Amino acid sequence: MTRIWLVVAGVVGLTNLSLAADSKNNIATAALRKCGRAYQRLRAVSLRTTMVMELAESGRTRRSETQATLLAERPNRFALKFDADEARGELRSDGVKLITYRAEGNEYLQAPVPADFGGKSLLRQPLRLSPGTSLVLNLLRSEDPTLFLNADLNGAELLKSETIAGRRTQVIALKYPWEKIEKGLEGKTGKALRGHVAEMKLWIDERDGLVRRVQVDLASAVKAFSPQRAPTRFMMTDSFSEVRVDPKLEAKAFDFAPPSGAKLVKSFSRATPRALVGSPAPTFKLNDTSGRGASLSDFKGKTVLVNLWATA
Amino acid sequence: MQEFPALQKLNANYAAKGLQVIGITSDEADSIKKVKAQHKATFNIVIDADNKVADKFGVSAMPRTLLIDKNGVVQVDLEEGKEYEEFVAELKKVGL
Repeated sequence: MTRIWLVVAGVVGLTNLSLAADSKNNIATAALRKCGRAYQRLRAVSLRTTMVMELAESGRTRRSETQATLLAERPNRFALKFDADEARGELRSDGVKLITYRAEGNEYLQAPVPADFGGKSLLRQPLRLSPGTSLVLNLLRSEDPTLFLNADLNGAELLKSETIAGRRTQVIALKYPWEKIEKGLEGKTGKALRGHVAEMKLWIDERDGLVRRVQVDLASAVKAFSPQRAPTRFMMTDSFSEVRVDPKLEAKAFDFAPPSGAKLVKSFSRATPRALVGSPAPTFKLNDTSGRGASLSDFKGKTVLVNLWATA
Repeated sequence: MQEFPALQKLNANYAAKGLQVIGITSDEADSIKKVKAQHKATFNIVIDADNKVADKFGVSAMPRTLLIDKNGVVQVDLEEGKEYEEFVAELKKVGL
């Protein structure tokens, strides 16, 4: 008798577990469908995007934050203007041409609008679209945003509800093919990323179905294309605020007027050399594993190649 | 570490031309010995335990490679991993 009851209890337990997982997937699927429909209805949007990059690697932590204003109109007009910082400039598409302006050097490029806003022509530019901003533009561009989001609905899962910037959101985790985030990846990086999935989290507004935040975990992807690197954390987070749905946008909002003296170029001139180049190298005196010392001054008269590395 | 084969090859081919290859790491001795053995690396590797030298060089991400000319002036600053041929091209710039 006792044994039978144990078996029954076991079965009930298993069923409950799978039901819980199923319903989390169902809620996530419903939220993603709602999100897709919301973008399908959307004609235009204006928002502030805050892009945060956090990288912890080799015992160091880097964090950078970039803010930009985005105006976008279905299907392919947008203007993304970065606030003043190292990435100062703008990216825009008037529907036909893609224009990248970089304040440093006062230069701009023109290219055909890529088939996909995660496209390679954007990636090559010094001003890149972050994964989250790229996703929003792709949703606006897509004829079927729901289909675009449904990368792997079986893996989608509701993590929790969270209020951000006064909006109730559902936080959905999904595995997203890299090809969809950065299409047309080429070279070594592209090859390494092909077939990989990114761990992505979407914060979807419970009321209007729009994406309020996108977070992509790049740590595993970096290891794929650069095995000598092993970041403990590498996150790109785009948070959207001041979201206005279907704002009145004047056509000239997408026009590009080159700032005075700006040059149209085929490729941007090389970035300013680092501060170190052209300066005397910092001196050092360090020991090797057997305690033998070495200092830069030991190598006077030689060309020295210094390679700084770390396994962890 | 992915660069070790390239660095080892540079060390072998350019030492006679006046190149000194030196690795700087915050890794501990055990880890360095392991990596050296794995790649049969013979070039000089020194320990920068608390990243003080890395800080002096302003390094925030590794690997990072600098070429310092005969007069002690930094001529080339390379981020991320590079292949042997890429190093060779950079060495040409400093006359090697």
